[in-house]
Amino acid sequence: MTSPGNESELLARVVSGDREAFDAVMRVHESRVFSVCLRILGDRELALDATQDTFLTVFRKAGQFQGRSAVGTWIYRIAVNTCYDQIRRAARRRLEPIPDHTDPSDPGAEDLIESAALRPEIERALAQLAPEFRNAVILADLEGLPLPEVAEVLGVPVGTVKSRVFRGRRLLARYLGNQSGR
Amino acid sequence: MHEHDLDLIAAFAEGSLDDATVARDLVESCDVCRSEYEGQMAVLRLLGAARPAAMTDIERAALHRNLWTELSRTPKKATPWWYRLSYAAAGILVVVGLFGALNGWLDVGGVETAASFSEIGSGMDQPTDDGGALPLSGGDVDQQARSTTTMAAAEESASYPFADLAEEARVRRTSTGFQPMVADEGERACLTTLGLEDQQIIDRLDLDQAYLVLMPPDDPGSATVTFVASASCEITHIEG
Repeated sequence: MTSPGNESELLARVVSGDREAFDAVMRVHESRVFSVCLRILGDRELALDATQDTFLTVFRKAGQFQGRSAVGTWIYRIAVNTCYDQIRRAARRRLEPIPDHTDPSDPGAEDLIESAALRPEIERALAQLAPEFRNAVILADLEGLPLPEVAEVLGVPVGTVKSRVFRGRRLLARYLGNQSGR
Repeated sequence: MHEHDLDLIAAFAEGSLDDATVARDLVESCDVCRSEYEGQMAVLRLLGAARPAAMTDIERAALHRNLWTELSRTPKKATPWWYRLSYAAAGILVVVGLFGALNGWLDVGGVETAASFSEIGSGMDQPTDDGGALPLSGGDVDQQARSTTTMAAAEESASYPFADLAEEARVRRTSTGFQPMVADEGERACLTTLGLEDQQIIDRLDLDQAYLVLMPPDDPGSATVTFVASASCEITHIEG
């Protein structure tokens, strides 16, 4: 496991163009970045695009990392912003989301995709949340990030995150209740 | 219900209160509060049951491949002035050499103007039998240019995660319904030259250059994966 100190060193090497170091940073964070992007965007292909854009930004802006937060937190923040950008771009183009597809030649892919998929009613309820509540719930409850880290990723105080998470859950409960006809 | 009470109940539901007495009393004393608490618990259970989203092997390999392809287009960091100067000097040498080479050809034909080309290149060229200056031959220039290209290509291709690409090939090879790609005439000739005619073409990649990804037909799970540059017909990487 890479320690935060090591990660900062790795990132410093990335600044000098060390692609091996970049590969190491990417391997540590790519899964969670993808997961966050998938939860926010709700589409695997868009999530992969956003993951790629995230790491391109990480590579190009590694020199701007000031060490005030953990490398991971900085990367997740880039990921969330990248997803925002992608949503804005998609809205401008009025794109329909690309339907999910499974490469039939990818062994185990079906299971992996199914197990990662949220239950449809949660998916629908999450989609109804305003982005600030949805992202707080995704990061805190689905990704399990501690609230201070969520606060850094979203660039808001911890109290605000807590309030957004509570409110997000409350709204989810209401939407889920409505969906089940309660 | 007051916003403060709602937050108190939410914190109680997630178990983050140091002292839960007030919240518990609230939940037990009021129907709306209890319903709120139950709603929060239900959502926490649902969200907690969701497993983290993971990439499939092919998605991960595609991510790496696309990313490295994209990064290979990224201009590298600015090099120091003396380093750039050495490139400029090498460039001048090549140009002078080319002039010299041209001069050499013209000499054979006995064209008068060749002398002036020779003079241009005389400062750094090799002596000839007749005491004049002979620039780098066309062959030398070719060799120099080729070796520069090869080095640049090697440096570029070294930046690709061939281990990941090999893993992707193995996954592809072991997948159900896999059919190796059919070699065209040029590829067949190249593979025969390299003694790889028994290998299967698993994939064709377009990275810094075109590659054939090859694997032996047996033992697909852990087999060696060979990368052959299609244009130059050279084995560039062997993984495994």
